[in-house]
Amino acid sequence: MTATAPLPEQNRARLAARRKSNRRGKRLLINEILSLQLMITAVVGALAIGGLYWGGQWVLQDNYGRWALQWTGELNELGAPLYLQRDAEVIPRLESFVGRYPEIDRVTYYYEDGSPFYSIDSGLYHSVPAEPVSYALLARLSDLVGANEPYLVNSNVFSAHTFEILAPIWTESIGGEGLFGFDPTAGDVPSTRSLAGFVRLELDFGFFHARLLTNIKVATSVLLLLLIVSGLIGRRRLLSALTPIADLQRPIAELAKGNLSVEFKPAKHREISDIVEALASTASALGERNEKLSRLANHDVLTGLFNRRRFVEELRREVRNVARESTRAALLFIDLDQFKYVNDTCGHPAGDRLIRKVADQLQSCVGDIGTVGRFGGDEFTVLATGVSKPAAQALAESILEDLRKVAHVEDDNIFHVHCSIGITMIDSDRFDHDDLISQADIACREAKASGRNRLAFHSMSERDVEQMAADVNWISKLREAIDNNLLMLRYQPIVCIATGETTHHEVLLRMKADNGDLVSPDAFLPAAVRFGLMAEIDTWLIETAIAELARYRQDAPDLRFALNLSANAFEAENLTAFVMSQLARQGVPADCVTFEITESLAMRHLNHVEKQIAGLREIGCQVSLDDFGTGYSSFSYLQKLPVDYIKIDGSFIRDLVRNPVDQKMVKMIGEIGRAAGMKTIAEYVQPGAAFTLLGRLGIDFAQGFHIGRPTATPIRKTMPVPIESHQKQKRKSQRKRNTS
Amino acid sequence: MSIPEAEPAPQPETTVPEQPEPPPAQEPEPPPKEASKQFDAKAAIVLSGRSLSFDRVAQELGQILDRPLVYDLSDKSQSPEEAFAGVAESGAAIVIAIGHSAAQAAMTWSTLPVVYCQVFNFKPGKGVRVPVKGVAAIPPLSLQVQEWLKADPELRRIGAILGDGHESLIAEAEAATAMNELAFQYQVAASDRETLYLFKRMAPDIDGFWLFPDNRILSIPVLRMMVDVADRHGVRIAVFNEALLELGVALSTAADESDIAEMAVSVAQQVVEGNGDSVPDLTPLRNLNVRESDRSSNAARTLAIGSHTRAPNGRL
Repeated sequence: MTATAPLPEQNRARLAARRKSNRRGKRLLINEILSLQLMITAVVGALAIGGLYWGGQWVLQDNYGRWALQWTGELNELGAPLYLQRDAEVIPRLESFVGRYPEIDRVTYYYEDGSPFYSIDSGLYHSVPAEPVSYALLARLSDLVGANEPYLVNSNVFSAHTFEILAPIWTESIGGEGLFGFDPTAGDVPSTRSLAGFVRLELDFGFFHARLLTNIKVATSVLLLLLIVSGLIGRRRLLSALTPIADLQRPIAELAKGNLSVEFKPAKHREISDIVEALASTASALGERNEKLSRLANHDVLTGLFNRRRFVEELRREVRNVARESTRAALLFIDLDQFKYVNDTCGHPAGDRLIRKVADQLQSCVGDIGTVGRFGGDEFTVLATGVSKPAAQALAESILEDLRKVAHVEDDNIFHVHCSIGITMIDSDRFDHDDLISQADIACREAKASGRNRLAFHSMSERDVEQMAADVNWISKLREAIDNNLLMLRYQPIVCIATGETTHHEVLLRMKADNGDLVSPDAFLPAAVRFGLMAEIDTWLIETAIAELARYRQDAPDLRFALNLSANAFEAENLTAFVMSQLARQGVPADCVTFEITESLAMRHLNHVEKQIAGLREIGCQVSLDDFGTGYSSFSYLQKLPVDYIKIDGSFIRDLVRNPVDQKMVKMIGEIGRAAGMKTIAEYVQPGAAFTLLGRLGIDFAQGFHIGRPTATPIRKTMPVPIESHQKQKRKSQRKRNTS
Repeated sequence: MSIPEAEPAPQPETTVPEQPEPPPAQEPEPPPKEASKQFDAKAAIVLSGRSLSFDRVAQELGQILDRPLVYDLSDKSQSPEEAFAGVAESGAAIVIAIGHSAAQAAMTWSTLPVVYCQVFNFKPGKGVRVPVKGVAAIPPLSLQVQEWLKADPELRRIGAILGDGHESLIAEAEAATAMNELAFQYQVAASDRETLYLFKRMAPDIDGFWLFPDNRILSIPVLRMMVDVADRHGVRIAVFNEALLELGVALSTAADESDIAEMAVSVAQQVVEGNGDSVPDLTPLRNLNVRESDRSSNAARTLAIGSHTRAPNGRL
């Protein structure tokens, strides 16, 4: 399964723009590495050439030095006669010597005082140079007489191929005892040395130097060529090596777009292969997580079927498909009959098990024909695609038949599951998904009203269409009312029958219609429940009622309100905390607020409601059990629900004066309430006789048109007290006085 | 340094260094081996130093003379002046100076007649107050040529290089070679460097080279180079000192120490007896010692067993 919700276009465009700006002005990795490689090679090459130059230079100079010293020694000897006695052969010999070595630039002989007396250059030109040896140099050269290295070498840093050698010329004679005392084995034979003069040898190895430079130029050219070739080869190799990284760009971009099914090419190199594997693992993990999230978002946790949101999506898509393809489909709304009975008698876990079993059965029954969803507690929906009306009917009948076969065993009780199915056909996009769901729901109720365990097709009369349109219209109005604060409160007094005084007011919700009329909640609350607006309405009600109570209590400090909350409010985990925060915010004592919960709601979510009631009572609020007496086992729950008031269902009160059964029931409820320490309230009290009768039957409070209609502000009124009640009250007061 | 004398020695009293060979000159073994005539006067021997040749001559003198006084000028414990003052006070009748320094000092400080030996380049100054006679430093050149020819019968051309002032020696050499029908050429040099220079040019034209003990024109490095050059040209060098055989030269025709000693004593006796005028300024020697070197091994070998010593009359 591929991913997932695509990124919003805006985000995608932003990311693309960021990518583009990120790429702009950034260097290529290949060029970077190649530059580094070439730089290193160039540096190494330069060092090598430098080393070659200096090494060659050093070798040459070393050789020059050796040759020069050898020549100096020879010239020293050759020139000896110049100092002592003229020898006709000395000049030709010197010429021959100088002519033999082209590196010798000039040879000059000096007297011992440093004055030159003979010079011959490489052109064998004889002269007597004028420049004498300086005194400083003379002193240094004189010190070299008899030394192991009797010469000075002067070289020019800027002209490495030319240098000169200066050496003293001296004579030596054995000491005074002559050769009679001579002992050649003795290390130190006395001798006398006498400085005769100096010889200067000027050398120019330019030829060899030029040859060295030529060789170095050739080497440099070869090195440059090698650099270029290695750069080209290196670039090619790098490109080849980095191609897998470049290849990752596209799949990573796809991954960034949310495409988790993207494939990564396996890489040859270990480093890149690791990256590829990591990316593939990441994509896989993201896919799994997305799948899980998607599952959570689209499926009912209990049954695994599509939840309401996803089913509506499917329905919407199918409506478009039907309109486009001119096919037909059917929407089945399935409501389990008597599911509440299982829940009430065996508890919620048992109910959950039953729901799972029904879901499995439905899935099996529908198969590939359509899609099954869980719409609510015991409500399921089936979207059968490409079916005609008979086929839809056949499917519904098979569902009825299959479910009938389901026997659910709980605590040794066997429950047979029956259901009612409402069917609406989809043959155009004339109705949207909300309309279709309403139609199927209505048909289901009709089936249920017709005796349960059956199916009914939705037959849409003109009036029904108008009504549905009106319902849909109500939803939008309700939305508007919440947004624009068009909801309002009305207050109906509740009086104490014994004293006739108004003790508190029930807060009733109304919506202001376009024509200014107030609309009863019966008109819009079912739609609000179905379209998920109850949470907002409950919040608004609690906030507004407590704020109003605080305002009214400034003039009537003993004013108390009773608020009706939906099942949604009691399902909210933070109900108690929210109420407490509102009371604290408005400065209203908690015991001034009573919360009413219907018996059916309390019975359906007993454990949860129990905790909420306990929480509300803990902070000081009071709780009233509304519509008491309509359930199957109302009395058995009284012990489990620690409420303060029992509000008797209006069905027992409407005909109370004339119906002795109702009187018995009311009397019994009153007695049970007293026994349980709870006060009883009778609602829908209209005739005055009923009020009087209720007093006789032992009911504590009354509410109804006889006492007061809902008004825009709380009105305190006092009712005439029934005689019996008055007498009872007097007796009670008398007993108190006597006791005291 | 002084050698203990039989009679009370003149001051200063010096000690004798330990020197196993040659035997100390201070301890002459009486009686004299041979003397043509008994020398009765007391003589003082003054040495320039303790080289081998000087020691041998002193030793020979010790055998001839009766308890001679011996002074070593290389002993720095006393100055030459003090040494000669001691000689004068010792009752010696004559001074026999061995070596150049000793002869030079004797000219300056001695108040007694002087007979010098083992000195090559020496000429007494004009201001000398005492009679001075000398004994030749090298054997007669005619003898040398004869011995040389015995060792090398192929010898035909002899060369020599000398400093200035050796005209008589050159004449003797010319006579000796001419007598043996040998060609002789010589050069006069002023320094060791020139000696080498001249030798290199002379070497191709000679078979043998006479190396005279003229220290003025020779140095150790030049000597070594001359031996190398001679080797290259097949020139045999004859030297005057056996010690030089160590350098690789071919032949040594050195003076015989006993001959030197006898001649010195003979001259001294005549001087002491007042017959000095009949004695030439430089009395020639009569004998020589010949030694030949094995060049291949650079080790000296003698031509005969032991010292190849020939007396003037031909006796060994």
